[in-house]
Amino acid sequence: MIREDAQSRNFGPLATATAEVVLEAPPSPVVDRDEVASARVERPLGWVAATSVPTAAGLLIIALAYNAARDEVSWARGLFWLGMILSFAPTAIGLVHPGPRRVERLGMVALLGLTGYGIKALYSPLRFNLTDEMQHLRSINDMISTGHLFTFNPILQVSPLYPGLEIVTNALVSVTGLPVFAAGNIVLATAHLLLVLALFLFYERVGHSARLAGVATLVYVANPNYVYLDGQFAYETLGLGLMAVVLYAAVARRTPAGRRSVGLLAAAVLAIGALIVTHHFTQFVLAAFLVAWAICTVGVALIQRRAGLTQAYVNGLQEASSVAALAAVCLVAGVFWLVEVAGAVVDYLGPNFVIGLVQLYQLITNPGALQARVPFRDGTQQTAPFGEQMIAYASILLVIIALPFGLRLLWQRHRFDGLAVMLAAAGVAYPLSLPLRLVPDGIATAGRLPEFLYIGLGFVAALAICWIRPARLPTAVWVAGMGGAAVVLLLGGPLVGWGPPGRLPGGYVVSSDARSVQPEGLAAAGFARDVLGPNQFIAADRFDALMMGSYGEQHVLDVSNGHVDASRVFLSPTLDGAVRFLIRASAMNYAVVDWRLTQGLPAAGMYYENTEPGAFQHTTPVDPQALAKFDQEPDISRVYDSGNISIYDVGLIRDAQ
Amino acid sequence: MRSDLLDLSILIGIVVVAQLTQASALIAATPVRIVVGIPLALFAPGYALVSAAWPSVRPHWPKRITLALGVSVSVDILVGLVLNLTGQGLRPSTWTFALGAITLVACAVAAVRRPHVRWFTFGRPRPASFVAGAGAAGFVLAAAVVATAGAAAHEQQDGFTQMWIRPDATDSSSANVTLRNLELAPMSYHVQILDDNGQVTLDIPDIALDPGQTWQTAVTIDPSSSGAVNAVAYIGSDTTPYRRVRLVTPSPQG
Repeated sequence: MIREDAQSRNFGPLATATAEVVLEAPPSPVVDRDEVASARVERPLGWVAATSVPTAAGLLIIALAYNAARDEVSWARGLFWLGMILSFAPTAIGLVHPGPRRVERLGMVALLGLTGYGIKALYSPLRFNLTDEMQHLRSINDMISTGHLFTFNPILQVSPLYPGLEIVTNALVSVTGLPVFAAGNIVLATAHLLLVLALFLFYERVGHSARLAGVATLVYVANPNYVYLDGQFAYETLGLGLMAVVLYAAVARRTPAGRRSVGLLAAAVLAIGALIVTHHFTQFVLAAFLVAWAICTVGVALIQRRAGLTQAYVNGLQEASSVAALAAVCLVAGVFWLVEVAGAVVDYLGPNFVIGLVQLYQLITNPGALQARVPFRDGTQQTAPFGEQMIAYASILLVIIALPFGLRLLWQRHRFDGLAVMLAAAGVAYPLSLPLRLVPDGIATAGRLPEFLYIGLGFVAALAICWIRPARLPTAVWVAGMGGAAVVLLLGGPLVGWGPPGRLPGGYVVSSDARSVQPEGLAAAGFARDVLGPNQFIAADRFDALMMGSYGEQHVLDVSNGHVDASRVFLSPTLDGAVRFLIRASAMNYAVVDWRLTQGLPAAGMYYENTEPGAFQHTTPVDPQALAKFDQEPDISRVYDSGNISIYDVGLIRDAQ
Repeated sequence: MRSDLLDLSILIGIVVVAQLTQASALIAATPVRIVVGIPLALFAPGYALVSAAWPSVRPHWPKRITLALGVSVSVDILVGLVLNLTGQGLRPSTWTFALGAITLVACAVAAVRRPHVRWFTFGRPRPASFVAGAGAAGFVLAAAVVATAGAAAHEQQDGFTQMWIRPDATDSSSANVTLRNLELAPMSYHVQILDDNGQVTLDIPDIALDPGQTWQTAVTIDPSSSGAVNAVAYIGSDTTPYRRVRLVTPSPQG
């Protein structure tokens, strides 16, 4: 049985003191938590109730800060950070504190996980307006209208090939009658709850401590992608929850009783099956985790055999075979899905990883050939406030500092656990991935890794946070310090993972994710859907294209779906032969001109495509004369005008011989 | 009814009511459909299957709830793949039937396998905990209301007018010019229709539109010759074009 941490603090004789630190003993590991007496009455959730009030009040302050930002009030940013601190601090301190019982830690973990999601949900309270969300919105809308899967999605081809999130949302829409936005948010909240609960149970099994599990989950929630990227209506959000379920079921099967449990095996296989059709990258990472876990376990078992620990060797091999079997299921099913259904994902994912590594190599070997990316700076060359940068760097520094201490403890207490060794390797990989953020396209690689590497980092850092304290420092002071550090971690994560221009909502900003999604663009998309009709071949700038493709149900032409770089149609000073050829070759019906692109630099670095001339290096806005060319051509109709947005019918050029 | 089957009984009740919402439009229009639909999609199938797989009180409730959520989501996804193969596909009726059937069958297995023991027993929350929980829920609700109201109000700050021109789908010699007021206040427009040479062929001096209102007029085009029809909207008596659209008609030869 895993003991309550409050009891474990009495394990004085087991503590080992050094000159610098005291290594506090974790509770003694036991076989199976399920041996807990069934009829035990859980106490009221005192810590949860106490932390929930300030946490919820923090969310209210964040909502007020968002509104202040929309009104361009100068103190909105300060209010936002006050709300963030109030949202995270109570649960951070509660989880670090040795006092709460297991059930209270579970409650606080759930609270923390949902709070992280709530910050994003309050950011977009009316509709899905982030890039990935609009891409998946198209898939769910197609699914609802057709009643079937795999309808082509012009704004993200691979989305309908991994329809897990949309299927669950479709189920909820169907049985409740709720709108897609409401149902999607309920699914997202469920996914976050599933993720943090399953992770808690996973860490508890590995570390034999509810306190360690709570802190490890807290560190995980502090990963740069948890609040925003994985708060989106996007397939990875649900994929992570399913991955955590598999990890938990796998670790629960390490015991003899667990291996005999058909239910656990079925749950793991079901979750793997669901993950295979939910998110490509998460399934690959899960397979890699399971393979690495099995290899590490075999390695440890061989070492134990050489030490004469025959039973441990046998147990290790049994565990490794059990994990390897799940890895095999994941790999075989994943490859089958990839080959039979989702072959397009290779072209989609492959370049992202290769180009980042190639550029990093170039930066190291030939620094002059490549301009390094400056962290916390957007496409308009504006940088995040100094204080935010400091918090972000501090959060990275804290986990890097915690790593060696955690690794030392891991070596002392868990080195004969192959899973713990695998987690350590994942944790160490995180700081090694950070240099990728310094090359222009490296963020496409490094930006996808934290939510996975933090699974290991969370465990290693939690070892340090829970079981180490300076010898002469009172426990209360140390816990307070660790609580403060945990808050910095939680605040810094979103700063690392989300650029400054879109952090707060507000008025229109050129090429800036949700800030570019405003009523006028949505109205144009509505016009296209209702008046022009769905699935017209349309070219537009990046964010008008997303609105046209999702809310407007149009077939947007871009590099990813038809290898059409429509930026040339807009940026070319004249409608010359090459542009006319491109219109004909792409069968373009309409071109959407957003005149606001002439008023500012793109926060995302590009107006139309990553491949457009000057992408990520723009120093001047789009030339108004280049866009005005559409009005000067005798064979182009200007069919729509709402002031900032015009839509041109280029059908006569398309149909010309 | 056995008291230790209370949880399974609730699941069965959810399935029955969900089926009723499919059968009765009257019930479907009430919040009951939402109240039973959320657990039916996200919790009931998994909980029932976990109960069938683990008939004893083990695993304890944190693990049981986590697995119930995970298995429910997984079942949804895999059922969705199966429904996709059916002629009807993923529709409210097929979803309700499939999830209900899985839940009922799993409940039946769980009920048969379950020993007669006490099931979940929770301590009575202290009043302070209850008050704190209610307070937290109140704050969250307030945050949701504040965020939604603030975002909606912000969207009302910047109004605009849409104008468009489209050939009449039923009459090749006609096109429709439409004006929609999405400004924040009632607007008065002046619209001119011009031919290819800039000559005004139609002048409509005073078009009053309230916010959200749409105005449309038909203009004549000559399908036998190429050319263009222009429409320009002005605000009130202003002479600066506010919106302008143009429809080019192709030459008859194509």
